[in-house]
Amino acid sequence: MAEFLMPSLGADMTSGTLAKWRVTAGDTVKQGDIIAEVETDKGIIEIEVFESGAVQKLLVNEGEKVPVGTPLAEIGSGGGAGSGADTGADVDAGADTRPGLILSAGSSGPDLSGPMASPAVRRKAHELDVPLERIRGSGEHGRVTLDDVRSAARPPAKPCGRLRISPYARRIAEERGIDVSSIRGSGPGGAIQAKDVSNAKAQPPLKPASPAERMQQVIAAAMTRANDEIPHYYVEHTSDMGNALTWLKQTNASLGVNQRLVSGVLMLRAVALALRKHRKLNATWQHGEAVPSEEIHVGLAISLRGGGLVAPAVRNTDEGSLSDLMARMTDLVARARAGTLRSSEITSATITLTSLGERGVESVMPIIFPPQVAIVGCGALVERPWVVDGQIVARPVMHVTLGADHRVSNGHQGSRFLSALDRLLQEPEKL
Amino acid sequence: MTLDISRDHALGLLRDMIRIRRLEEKSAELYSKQKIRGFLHLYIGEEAVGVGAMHALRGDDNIVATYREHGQALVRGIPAGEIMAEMYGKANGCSGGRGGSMHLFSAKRNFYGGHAIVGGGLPVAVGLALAVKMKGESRVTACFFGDGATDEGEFHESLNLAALWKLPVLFLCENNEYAMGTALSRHVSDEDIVNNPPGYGVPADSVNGMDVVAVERAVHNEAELVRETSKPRFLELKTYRFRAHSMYDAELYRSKEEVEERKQDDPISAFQSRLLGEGLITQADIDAIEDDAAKEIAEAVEFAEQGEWEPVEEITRHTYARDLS
Amino acid sequence: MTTYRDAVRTALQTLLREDDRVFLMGEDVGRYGGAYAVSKGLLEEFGEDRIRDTPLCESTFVGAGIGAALGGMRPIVEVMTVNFSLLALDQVVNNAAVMRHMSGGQFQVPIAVRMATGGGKQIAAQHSHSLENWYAHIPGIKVLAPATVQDAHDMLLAAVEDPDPVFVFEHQMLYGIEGELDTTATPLSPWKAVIRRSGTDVSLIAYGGSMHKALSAAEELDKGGISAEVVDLRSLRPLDRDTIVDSVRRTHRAVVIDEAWKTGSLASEISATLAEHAFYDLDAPIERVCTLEVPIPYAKHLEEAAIPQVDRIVEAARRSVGDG
Repeated sequence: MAEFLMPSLGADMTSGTLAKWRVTAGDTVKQGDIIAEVETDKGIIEIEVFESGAVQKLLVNEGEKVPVGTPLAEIGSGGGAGSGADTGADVDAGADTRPGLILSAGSSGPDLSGPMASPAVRRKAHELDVPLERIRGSGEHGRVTLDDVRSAARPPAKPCGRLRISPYARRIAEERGIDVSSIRGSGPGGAIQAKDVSNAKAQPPLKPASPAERMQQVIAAAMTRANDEIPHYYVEHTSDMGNALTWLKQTNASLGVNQRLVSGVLMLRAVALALRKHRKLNATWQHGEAVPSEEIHVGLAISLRGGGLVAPAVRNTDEGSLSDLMARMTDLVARARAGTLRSSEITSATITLTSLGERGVESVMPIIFPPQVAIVGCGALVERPWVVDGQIVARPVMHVTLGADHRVSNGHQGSRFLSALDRLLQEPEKL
Repeated sequence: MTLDISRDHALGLLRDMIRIRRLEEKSAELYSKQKIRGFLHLYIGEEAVGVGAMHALRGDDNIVATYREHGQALVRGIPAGEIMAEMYGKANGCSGGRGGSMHLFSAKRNFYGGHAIVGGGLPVAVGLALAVKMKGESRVTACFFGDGATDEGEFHESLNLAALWKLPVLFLCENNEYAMGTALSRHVSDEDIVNNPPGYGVPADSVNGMDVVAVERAVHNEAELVRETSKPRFLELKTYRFRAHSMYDAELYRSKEEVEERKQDDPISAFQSRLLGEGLITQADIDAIEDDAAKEIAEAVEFAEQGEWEPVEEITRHTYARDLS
Repeated sequence: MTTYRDAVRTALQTLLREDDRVFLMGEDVGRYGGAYAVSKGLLEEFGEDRIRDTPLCESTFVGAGIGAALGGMRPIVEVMTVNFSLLALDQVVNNAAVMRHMSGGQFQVPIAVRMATGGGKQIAAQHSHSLENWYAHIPGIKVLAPATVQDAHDMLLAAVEDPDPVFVFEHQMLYGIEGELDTTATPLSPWKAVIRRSGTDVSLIAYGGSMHKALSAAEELDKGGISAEVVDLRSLRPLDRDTIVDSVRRTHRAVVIDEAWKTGSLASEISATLAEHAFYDLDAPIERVCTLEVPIPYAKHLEEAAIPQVDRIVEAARRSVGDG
């Protein structure tokens, strides 16, 4: 018994449709006879048989498309006819035993059009929302495999911003133990070149750094990166803090010493509320684009004894009462100084507020903490001559500066944010 | 007209035609079963051309052939096993598995290959003849090409150069009436191909390529004239291919009726009938030839099956005389 | 002092005198004396059998050269310019390059093909192109580009002696240059690049006609305190990767000069090679100075603007070292 197979007529022929049988079961055929017609991409091709004998069974119906190598008929070596000789087109159940081989059945059959894939593969593709037709199968005869689906579902890698440094400069910096993040490049586009590395002093190796030194190194790296990568712009506004201070005095009069509010908490809340309408500033820069944050977590820049600096987040700064916010702020500052911040607090800020008023400076031009895209800086509260209703009077005022990432927002948007912030500070009872 | 040839001679011609036919039939089968891949162009129907021509040429004459060259290769003496192994892509093939069906070569038999760029072999043949002439040898360079090649500029350039430099080239045009799927009337302005070469000073003649004896005589006469005069000559061999151009060909360009009609002119059965009719051979002779051919082809398949694959590490071998890397 | 043209002719004479298998053929190589007067006088010395004027059929006379090489001769084929050689590409790519491989090593094609290449003579868009990278792309053939008088001589000898097909590209602006020719010295291997000038700051990588422009650019850069090294590729296939990479490992900067169009050029190939093998030694982006992406124009000022010139090489080198 020999199998008559769907022949391969060219490397680019992977399957053929059995267009017509020229024989029926029981016919005697000899080598070289044309026994079927197969429809290919190039048209109908007559197919010869390479064995002699009787056709025992036809295994594939006319109109069926099957892969190359699929048995089409059984040819017996003897001269006798097989059973069921009068029903040539009566295809036996063999087709059902090879469902994976059938590419497309008649019109009544299940819709198996499109690429070949097992049910498990189809299910996975559905789960991952990957259209099967778009996948180029790597399996036999172009069959789509699970791996094909998985790799099609994977999002393409996005480039992320990185230091401009020549490969050679990076190599020698590594060899000499030089931290390249602190080097200013002199090459094209500020790229760090070998000579910049050579000019940089090698860091004292091996001496274990103190926690404060390590923190300083981290801050230095972050600030260098921020300064190199973020195109900053600044807008500044001077706010009359008279109403705020008056309201604060009245409110604190009825509160216990431990519950009294400070002006800093008003500023913190005002920044958070102003951000509600200026979402572009409440975002992080990830993989080359700004990702707006749903929640508002204002980071508070806190200087530590020994020169360190942290900016932990006051989570959901725009929510809860002022007293509650005051308590949270107090707790955060205490824990920052005690070194017991949670890591989530250190990394979750969506904007930073830095206040150098205590030090007496009147204004500050802060550098953004990456990956944030904005920072608000406050100077000292100082009494200044101020025009109110056409009269020059002495009023407590404060310089408020917004530093923001020009890739994400512009000066116009920044100005509107500062105006909103100013209006909020004029109505402290609503904070 | 009776055949004026000896029984042995007749048997030799018949034997080689049957050997080719059986080799080609087996090749088609093995192609369908994916043992042979790439392009496969069968010589079935054209056997008288290859057999007659190769019997007429001397063993030291140079042969340049086309991609439908299994017949010439086999008659020139490349063993069927090496041909089959080459089609398998095995290291024991006659081109080490690097050529395949279209590129059979044998240096020791002066068989300069199957060429698969239509017309591309002609300038090479002209150059081989130039070398022969400059070395003062008396060998003919026989160059096979199809009717399609006469469309190519290289055909006209080669006739011109060979005539201009008086080079001993025998141009053998296997006119099977189709350039792949384009009929002669649709690809040349003058279907009488022999009209072309005289324009370049190359004498041209034509012969019935379905008659092995006629082919042998004509090629012999032409080759000896080339040898004698050291000038090129042209011979058209009118033939017909019974099979598709290559395996993957639905033959949309010609009718089944046409093919069936032309098959009546089968060079093998016609020759057998003549030989039987003249009492030169018997059916027993034919049966013996068939048995030998079947055995030879079976052994060839076995040789190919048993052959080794060239190790992939050797892939860059034969790119240069010495590996550059 | 000898001209480049005379150096090629001297090599031809030597080859023809010493080996009966050698012959020269091509358009106008005989009576005319060669389009660039390289073969002037050879017909008189060697006769019509060995100095063969061909019909104007590049495909067939290159093919005949391949056939003659297969048949045991050592043909030297002159194609007038690289633009004309395109008519013979079928024979080069489909026969010369593949015959050894396709026959499983049974046949070889020891042919040498010479042709003029490059621009600079105001002969416009059908006679001025640099297409040697097309040839350098093809495994099975070898490609040489002699830039000096000595190489013009030595490389032709090597090309004819080689068992594989060798293509020699002679830049048409070089035929008249003069230099020392020593026919007694042991020649350098033609397959190795050489450092024509040592330097420490940047490697100028060039070949053929551009090599001289690179040398001039190095002089100019020297005045500004930039030390440029000039690498002459010499062999375009095989490329001498080691010499190129070693140079850039020393200088950390590379400017590749190539008279071909930038897209898909040998300059692209060398840049990729450096990115693969000298990435961690690169201190600046690789610069390429190539022909602008236009057919070579006729007008002098346009032709000059199209093809690489010394000032463009100097600018690229300065950009590379950060002085741009």
